[in-house]
Amino acid sequence: MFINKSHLKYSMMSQYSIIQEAVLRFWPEHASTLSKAQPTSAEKKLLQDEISGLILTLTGNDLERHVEGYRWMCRMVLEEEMVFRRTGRYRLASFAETDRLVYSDAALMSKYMDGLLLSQILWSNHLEMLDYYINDFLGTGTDVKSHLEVGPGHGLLLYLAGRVIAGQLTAWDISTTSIKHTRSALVALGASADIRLAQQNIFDDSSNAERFDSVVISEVLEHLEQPQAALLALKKRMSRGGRIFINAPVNSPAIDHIFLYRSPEELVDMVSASGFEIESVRFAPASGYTEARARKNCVSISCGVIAKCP
Amino acid sequence: MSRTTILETIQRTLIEILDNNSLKICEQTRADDVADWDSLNHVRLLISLEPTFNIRFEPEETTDVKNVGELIDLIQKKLR
Repeated sequence: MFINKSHLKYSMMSQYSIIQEAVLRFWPEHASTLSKAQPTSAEKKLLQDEISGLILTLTGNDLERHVEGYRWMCRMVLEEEMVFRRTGRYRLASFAETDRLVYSDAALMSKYMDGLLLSQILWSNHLEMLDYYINDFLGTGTDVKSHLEVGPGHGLLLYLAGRVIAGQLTAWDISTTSIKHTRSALVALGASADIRLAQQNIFDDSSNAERFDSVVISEVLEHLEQPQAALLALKKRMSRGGRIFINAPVNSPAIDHIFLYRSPEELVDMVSASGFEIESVRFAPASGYTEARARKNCVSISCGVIAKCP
Repeated sequence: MSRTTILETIQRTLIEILDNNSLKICEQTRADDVADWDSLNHVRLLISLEPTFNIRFEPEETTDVKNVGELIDLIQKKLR
């Protein structure tokens, strides 16, 4: 069992409640949204609390700053939703433009990263994808000798992989700032020191490179102009029989989302067309929505795909 | 345009967005009083009302109004 239930049993106050209280103190109007995002099963509540504990380790004494970032992010998403509803498109379409307006703005990125971290347990679709990743992808991880994550960001997925995978862990990002951020997170969480973090572009020549038998690319494809090219490049870096975990949202406007998947099937078809064999999929609609209602109203759905490299 | 006409239009649009044929609203109704009238559906409502009234809402207006009456005020202000 992945979750340490005995530890949680003796907690005086759940880790999630600490974050929830901090959010509602700063933003009481958010109460009904948070209540809709609550998991219903005991297993997911435990997962939510376990991840909340990790998040609290990362936020340290700066939980309030993270809450501000979360509120800013929610507002930003609503503003982008207005653009999306008016035009049927995301505001930006090119990586260069996004780099200039978003990625190069350190203050904005800091708020955004803070907000994204809290959303892992405050948004039901994000928690659902963590559940899918932990239980269906990582599993016991015993056979994995080399694991790669592209765009590790807040570091939670990489840390969780390190808890079950005995093999070598590697993470790539094109941004040195992001790598520093992930490194600090791993140190704070007490992750193994031999996780390799490198500034690396997945499109760089791979002719003589090492192969990975476990690959993760979560919430990255929607930031790329040509996500299928990224999947093809990753496939070249994978061992035969290797597994990949892909997570990307559909109909999910944000300032730095440039590739619009209009349905979960668009993503699944892209993965298949890139030469992967689909092992399983999981679709998680935004908090408070059923999948049917989210599809009907073009509301955000997080889409997880686990596939094999034949 | 009368407040009653605007209220009726808001109600008609909300019924469509929320898929709730029995929905009845008045000027005092707040989003919290109506199931599924969340921030995302509020944005959908505003964007749906834009072509109907030939107006445009600003991003900050997505969270400014406290009830239907204030939304009617806002629409009337934009129609002037």
